[in-house]
Amino acid sequence: MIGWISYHAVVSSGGAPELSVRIIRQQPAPGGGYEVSFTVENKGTRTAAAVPVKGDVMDGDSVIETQEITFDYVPALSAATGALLFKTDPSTHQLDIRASGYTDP
Amino acid sequence: MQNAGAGPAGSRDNSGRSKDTATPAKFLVGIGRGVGGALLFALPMLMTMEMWAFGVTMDRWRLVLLLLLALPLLIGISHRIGFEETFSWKVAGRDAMIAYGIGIVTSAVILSLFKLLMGDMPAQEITGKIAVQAIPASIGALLGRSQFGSGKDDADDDPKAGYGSELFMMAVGALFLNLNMAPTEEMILISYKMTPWHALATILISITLMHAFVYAVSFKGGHELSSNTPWWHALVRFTLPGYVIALVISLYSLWSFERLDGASFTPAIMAMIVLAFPGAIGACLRGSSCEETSWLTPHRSNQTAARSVAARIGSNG
Repeated sequence: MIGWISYHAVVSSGGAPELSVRIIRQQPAPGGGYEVSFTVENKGTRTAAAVPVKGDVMDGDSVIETQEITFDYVPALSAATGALLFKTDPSTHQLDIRASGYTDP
Repeated sequence: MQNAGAGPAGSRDNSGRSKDTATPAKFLVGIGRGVGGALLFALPMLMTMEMWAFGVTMDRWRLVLLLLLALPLLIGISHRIGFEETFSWKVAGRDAMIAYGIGIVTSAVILSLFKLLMGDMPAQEITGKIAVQAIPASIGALLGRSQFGSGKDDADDDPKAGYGSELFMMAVGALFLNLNMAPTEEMILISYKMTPWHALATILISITLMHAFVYAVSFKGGHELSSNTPWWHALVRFTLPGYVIALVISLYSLWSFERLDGASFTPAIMAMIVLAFPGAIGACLRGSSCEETSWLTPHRSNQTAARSVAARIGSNG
């Protein structure tokens, strides 16, 4: 255990979070609207806190609908899952989901 | 540690002599002490926001596992220290059930007092909230008995009061502090703030502090570690196993309260190290305070102490 931590101490100094969002599935939500499940991955060696994930439903260049959700933490080298609920069906439009920032914990 | 031992020592004279007669009044006093212990130990958790939420959100299988694991734990504690000097596992089991009951009732009453339990809530929420709190409260009921009252005079006659028993009490001490702290967000927050260097320092300090406690307390009694015992003897025999126990308990507590979900190996290890720090302190304080009254016997007459030492040496082989 000490060896493992020491290895990371040497390797990970000065790292930053590297966030990426991957859509898992889209489906109609039971309570109406459309649910888009996604996972936020942090490939960096630092944990990101208060990560807002923003989803834009686009029709061409114009944004029809924006939903946002905030993750308390996305730990280093880990992933967190969540879902956004849209009123419009995102599968018939372009959908842009991304992590739009983070704070250091 | 001395203070913790002073309470039982003070009241030992009163109750130690009349322990053969288990009158209803004595039983009520025991219950009262149990409630006191449950409150003392569980109030921090009863007044923690995360613990209320876990009553609703915690994975039911993990809650069931926690509730089931509490049974052998309580029986083990009660065999060692409890409402009465228990000489049989049957009595220990009965006392463990009483403690569980005290834990459940105390939690239910206090949660209701804070308006966290109401009649119109779903049954699952009510039972969940009580169940999460009942475990620390019932451990508190048993431990509180030993803090507030008597009942440990003959612990050294207990054939189980050996090395394994000492490690078990270390686990109880670690679990106790961990149950207090694992539900809070700060545990993972601290681990996120830390760099691996901080984690390494935490390991080092945990082991050093533990060893200092083990070493100091063992010297007090003057037999487990005599002055010519090499320092690494205690390190290998108590400190390192104790720290491993603290790590395992820490990992289990974090997993139980869903603090590791989604985290990969390294963040999980970091959180485990953070929580094992209070766990290590809890382990050696709990373990040594038991040691103090059962093995090392600083408050007793020389004759009793000598008998205890003899029993201790005998049981050690």
